[in-house]
Amino acid sequence: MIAIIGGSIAAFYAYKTIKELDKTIDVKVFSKEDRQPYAKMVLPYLISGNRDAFFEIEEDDILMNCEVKAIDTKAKTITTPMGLYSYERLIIAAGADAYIPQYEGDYDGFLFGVRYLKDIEAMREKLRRAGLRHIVILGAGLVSLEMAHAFVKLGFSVSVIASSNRILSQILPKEASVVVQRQIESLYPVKFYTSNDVEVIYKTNDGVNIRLKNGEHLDADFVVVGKGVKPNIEFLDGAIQTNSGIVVDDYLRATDDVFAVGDIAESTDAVWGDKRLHAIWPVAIAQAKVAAKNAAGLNIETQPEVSRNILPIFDMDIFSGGDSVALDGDAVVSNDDGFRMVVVKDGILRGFCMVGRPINYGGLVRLVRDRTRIDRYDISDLLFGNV
Amino acid sequence: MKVLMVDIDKCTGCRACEYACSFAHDGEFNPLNSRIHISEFLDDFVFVPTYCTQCDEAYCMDVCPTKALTRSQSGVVELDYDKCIGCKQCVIACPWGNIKLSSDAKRVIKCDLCGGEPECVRVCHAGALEFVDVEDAVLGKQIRAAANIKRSAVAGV
Repeated sequence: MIAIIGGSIAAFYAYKTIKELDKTIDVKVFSKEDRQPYAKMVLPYLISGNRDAFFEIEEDDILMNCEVKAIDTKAKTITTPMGLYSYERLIIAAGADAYIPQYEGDYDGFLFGVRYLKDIEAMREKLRRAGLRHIVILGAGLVSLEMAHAFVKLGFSVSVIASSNRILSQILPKEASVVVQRQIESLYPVKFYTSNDVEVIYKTNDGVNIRLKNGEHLDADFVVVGKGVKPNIEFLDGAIQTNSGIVVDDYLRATDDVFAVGDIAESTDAVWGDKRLHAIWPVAIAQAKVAAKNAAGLNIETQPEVSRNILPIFDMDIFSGGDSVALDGDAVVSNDDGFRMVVVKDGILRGFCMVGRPINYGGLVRLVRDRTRIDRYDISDLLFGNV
Repeated sequence: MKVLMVDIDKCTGCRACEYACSFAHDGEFNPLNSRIHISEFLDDFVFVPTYCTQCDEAYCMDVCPTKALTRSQSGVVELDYDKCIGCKQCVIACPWGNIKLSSDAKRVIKCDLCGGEPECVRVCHAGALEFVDVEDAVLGKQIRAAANIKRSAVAGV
């Protein structure tokens, strides 16, 4: 039996790929969730309505409410609430959970992460009865801004609290953050508090009251946390070597007969040359397909990946990839049409970030991933996507 | 199954296909909104039409989180705008740049083979574009290759 741990898109694609290769192979998916896999990247869109984001696994092949508690790579078994299972090959796609800090105060039931459909369902319940029509979001990353946009579309106002000195600090340089913040604040009922944090949160009659480090008080219907994710590696308990996630080789193998894919996997990065978490949707799908084929007996090598994000929010596109904050390399910036920046080092494009109107998305990602020499391109062609 | 075939040697770069495509889909003559795109390489006077190949293992379809992209019975990867959330994952995923954003950036657009009668083929006076059965396309190539070999043989090379 090939066992797959996880219940999201990577688990689904691993399952689907194996079954497409040979439907007689016995595959079991062990999911801690109470439902079929769904698209997590659609969660912010589900705030304002239903979407078909479910991906079906044959009922006999998926065990729901079945969180794997331990694995034994020597005995080749996994321990679950429904008993011990033996596997021949194991694909770990256990994903990552939202990182939720502990705050002082009393806010039980009024603070949500954005990771599961049940989070969204709970929020929707609260939104229906909301009196203040104001939401506080902690963190100013990709998910936080997608959620802010979703609440604004429903007619709510939003305050976003960022502990860093700018919004989207993981993917944008200061100059681009300023452009994005100005665009959002001037046109939408959203207010950003940067270099700030929560001191204490208390329940009130209408919702919650949040006191910030700078002494300001905010009343909100509830609080959403978007402060990144951390891989779900606790259950491994040393059975497999872990770093932040599970380190895999170029065949996505963690150790003999065990593969890891998606948000839990640390794989080779094209820009930095090291192993790191990519934790993005398209990489999870691509890795799941390769690991599935390798678990089924093929021997397919993956190419190094590059982190990239596209954020279509507040009537603009924010597109970043690779070293998008120019940590290492020369940044070339253009403000002719929104904000555009490419980062070049030793004749190779290492990263980019673009705010405003869209350009040739796939081409830029490909240049970065393939480590293409860019001598034959004008810098302006790179900035404006003529590649 | 019919496929869109291009003979690069015949393409004159007239762009009639781009105009026809945008008009067929959006009622306007706007090459920026054409699903087929002619790349010009004027140094060598070569024109290369590129368009969606309706890949068997379609990258765009794989990454679509809402199943807005599906394959029709005739093999065409179709986009359902009612299901599309505009996340643009498909646009990044396509290695060929053949699923893209409309010029106003409001929609994702891709070739749907005009429901089986591609307008681009209809207006291609050079005969560079053809919509043919896969088997016929392959057979045609075999015959052309054989003819080349025959010419060489007759010439005694």
